[in-house]
This record gives sequence, C-alpha cells and structure tokens, in this order.
Amino acid sequence: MIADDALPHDRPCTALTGEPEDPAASAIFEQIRDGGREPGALHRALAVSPALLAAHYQLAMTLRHETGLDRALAELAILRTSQIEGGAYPFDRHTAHARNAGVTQTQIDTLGNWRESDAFDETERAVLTFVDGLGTRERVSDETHAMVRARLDPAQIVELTAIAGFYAGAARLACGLRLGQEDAEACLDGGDAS
Amino acid sequence: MNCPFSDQFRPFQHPGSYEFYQWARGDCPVFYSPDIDYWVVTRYEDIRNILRDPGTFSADNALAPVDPFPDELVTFLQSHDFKPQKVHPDCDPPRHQHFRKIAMQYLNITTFNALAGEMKAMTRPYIDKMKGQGTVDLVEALTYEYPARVILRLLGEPDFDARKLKEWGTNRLNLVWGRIAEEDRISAGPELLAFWNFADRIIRDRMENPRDDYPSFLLGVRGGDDSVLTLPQIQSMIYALLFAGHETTTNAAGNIIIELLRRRDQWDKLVADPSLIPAAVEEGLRFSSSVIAWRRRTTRPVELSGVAVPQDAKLLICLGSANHDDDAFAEAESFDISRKDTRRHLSFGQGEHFCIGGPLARIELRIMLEELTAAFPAMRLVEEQDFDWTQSVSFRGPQKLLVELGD
Repeated sequence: MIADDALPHDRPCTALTGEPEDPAASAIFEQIRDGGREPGALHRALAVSPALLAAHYQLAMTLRHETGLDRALAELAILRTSQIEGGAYPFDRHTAHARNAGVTQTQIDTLGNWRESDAFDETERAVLTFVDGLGTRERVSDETHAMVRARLDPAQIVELTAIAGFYAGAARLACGLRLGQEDAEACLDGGDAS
Repeated sequence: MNCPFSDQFRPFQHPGSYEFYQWARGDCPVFYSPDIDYWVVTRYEDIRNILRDPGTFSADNALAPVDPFPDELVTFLQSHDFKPQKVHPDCDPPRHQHFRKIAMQYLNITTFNALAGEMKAMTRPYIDKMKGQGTVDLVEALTYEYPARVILRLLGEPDFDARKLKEWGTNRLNLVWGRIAEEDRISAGPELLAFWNFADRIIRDRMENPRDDYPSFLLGVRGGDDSVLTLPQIQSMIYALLFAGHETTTNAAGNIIIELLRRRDQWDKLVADPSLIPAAVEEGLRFSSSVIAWRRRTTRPVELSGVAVPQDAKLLICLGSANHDDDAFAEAESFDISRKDTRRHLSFGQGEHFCIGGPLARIELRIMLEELTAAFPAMRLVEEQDFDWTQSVSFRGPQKLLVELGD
C-alpha cells in the first residue's frame, strides 16, 4: 500500500503508509514490533526497497546487540556522531538509550564541548577524539589511532568505526529522503539503530 | 455458512474451548454465532491475514461491548460525561498511526527495560509474604496485584490502591466482554464511571505537577494543542492502559504457571536453568493465551477459508485457536518450552496493532517465574482443583490457583 498523496509535499520520497506487502519488509516490521518498538519514518521510507530495509535493519541490530564494545562507549559515539552530523539526527531522542547504558546526564549535557569537560575519562576521550576525526576533514591522525589502540581491542575498533559510520549514514538517509525533524525522531524511537 | 454445530460454541465459557477450536478448525473454520452476532474465525492463516489488513478488517469494534449496553446504562454514562474516544486500540489507518506513534515514544522497550530492576524489586514483598505459608492461592498472593502495581508505576501513581484498580478492571471486563444479568450491568455503571474519572484525575494532577510518567509525557506531546491530542483522547489512552496493562498479564501468569506445574519436568528445567524462562514464557503465551479472542469488523465482503462473509460483519478472531493450529505449529497441541516456532504465536496480535505492552508483559512474566522458581523450587499444583476461568469472550485465566509451596 503506497500512497504518495498522503505525504507532506516537501517529502519527495515514496514512503510506505500501511503494512508492507513484500514478505521481507513485512518480516522486518514484525521483528521491530516484537522487540517493543514501532517501525519509524526511516523504516517506512526504506520499505519501498525491501532488501535494503532488511540489510539496513540487520546491520543496525548487529551493531546494537552483537558487538563487544562497551555499550556506554557505543552510545557516546552515536550521540557525538549525531551531534556532528546535526540536522535531521535528533540528539535528544537518543539520550534515553545513552542513559540506560550508563552515560551520565553531565556527560550528555557537556558532550558538545567535551574537550573542556571533566566528565569524561581517558577511554571516553579517546573514543570521542576518534569519532570527531571521522567526521571532519582531518580524519584520524596517527596519534588518535594510537590512543584508541591502547584502549580498545581490534574488534572494538572495527565496531566503533562501523557504529560511527552507520549513524552518519543514517543521518544522510534522513536528510536525503527529506524525513523531517519530527519523523526522524519517530524513526529513532522506532528502530534504535535505524 | 451452515454449521450445524455452531450452537456448541460457548463464547463466554472456557472449559473445553481448545477442544472446540480443534474441531472447528477442521470442520467449520468460520461460522456465524447467533448467540453473540459475531462471525467466529479459528484458523491461523485467516486470523493472521485479518490482523495484517486493517483496511479490510476495521478495529473499530475492538473495545465495544459484546452485548450492547442497556439504555439505562447508556443514559447514565452519557449524563456523566463518560465519553471514551477511539484511540490506538480501536481506530483505523491513517489515524491509528498518529496515536500509536505517540504512545510508543514512551511505551517502548527502552522505558520497559529501564524499569526492569524496579519491577523485580516490586515482587519481593509478595514473595516474602508467601514464605512459610504452605498452601496459597497464587492469584491472590502474587499474580492478581503485581501487574497492576507495574502499570500504576508507569502512570506515576505508585501508591494508588492496586486492589481498587483490579476491581475496576474486572467490572469493565464483565460489562464489555462478559455476559452478566441486566440489573448487574446497570448497577455496574457508577464504578465504570469512577474508573473513567480516575484517568481524568491523573491528567488534571499532571497538568499542575508534571513528572516523569506516561500521562505527563502525553500532556507534553500535546503541548496544549488539540490538533495533536485532545484531553479526552489522552484520557482514553490512559483508560486503555489502566485496563489492558494488567488484566491480561494477571491471566497470562496464571495460565503459564498452570501449564508448567502440570508438566513437572518442564518446571524443574527452569529451576535448574533460569535462562530457559523466556522460552517458557513464550510457549505459555502460545499454548494458553490470556487473550483468547479479539475483534474486528469487515469493511467489505470477504471470503475466509472459502466462507463468504458479508460487509459490516463483526468477527471474533480466536487467537487461542490460531495458536493451536497444526498448520502453523509442529505438534501444536503439545506444550514444549524447547520448541523453536513458538514466537509465531498471535497472542499479542500482529501488524500495526501489535500489542504495545507485549514486551512489558514478557518482562513481568519472566520476573515472576524467576522469583517463584528461585524461592519455591518444589512448588506443586494442589491436586484435583477445577479451574474457574474468567467468563468473557476475550479473556481467559484462572480465578484461583492453589499451590503447595513446598518450602
């Protein structure tokens, strides 16, 4: 069921408004609901390409549930990436996940200026430096790499990089598919790692 | 469809329901029940398709009284501003998504998981009180009150009398889903109204004193804008949660414990390895659903299992029957916590009305089983008890569950 006319005019993408007819997309919607969330705007946008929705969702779930990186570090990386990418990626909807993972309110409040904050320990600073590097033209310096390597094992470094990349990509998707602020919030609620 | 045996269907009585369903799925999978003026649907495939097509199968009768209210009750309720609005449980697309999206910004797994520690602690007074009592009624001792305590916590009313909430829930269940004498229905009016007004009282309080709870969240989303949510809609959303949030979990807990204790080896497996508890919860939900049937209405003529069903037909979709359908589950009639296909059960529905509280119920049920298996590993069913099931078209659970604690 696809209804272009049900969408706001400023959204050029064709999002699914009802239930997916495609079995692959439908299975993903069922998984999301079974896990206690509702398919969000991004899932509905991706559902018009069911194989892509499935792959995107599986990667999101792998990054969330099957990685060895400390969850608080992962959430910090997600928050910081969202902050750097800005716009459609609403920082505030992510704070609940972060708090549940053990990120403190002070850390959330001072993340925008984390270099000046004393709320972060050495490992957290290394992770934030790394994430900041990925999001800028400087990329990641040898020094930053050494700092991260001293604190994370090789698998965790891969995971951290993948998480930051995934969330930067999700922000691009939200932007490119013209998911408004409100819809993007819903998609974060709906999918955790969407 | 001509179904010569449809008069054997006892929509309000649950002893023998599963035997009836088994027969119906084979010989008479879709039939009309003049007793309740509903078309009864019993096969997994039909029910799944119905749930997944909200355009053809409207949810607008999901919370309507099975037997229409007597005029006197309607007049009484209307004159006292009893006006529940259609919100997420009983409205259709595209409006449905609007309410559901808002509700799920708060009622989601993140919120539920964050409460899990507290929820575990909330069982302790009940467990401690049971210790040394020998024989207890588990419904009375734990499963009746505990889910109500959890819901009151989500609603920011942790100190409210859980017993009162349960009484209101039972009263509403009897009026809407049950069949009780006309005079009892009329005299139940004031308590139904008191239940509805409780939701209003919560909202009025949070407008003055917002907190971190579901009502305050809804008021925050509304931001004073009736085009987002009206106050009666918020009241209806809370009224929905005040009922659905605990009645079903109380019954599910009783049902699961009965099935486990009937098969001692499976209970013992949980005692030995508590990591099996989530699988046991899931199989219990499948095998003995606390929501045995739910309701829909056709918006056009349809065909179900070869049976022509007219437009505007009211459907009773038997979730309990779907969960025992051999076409959907291997050896569907056997209770086995190690089966792999359990999670396809329809106890929480499917599609865009999938039970919002399902993941919360799973956590509560898991916690109750963890606490009970740890505190009373030798617990046994008191022998030769006849279970007295809830009398309603939709809900099934034991009114009493006598166990020897063996501690």
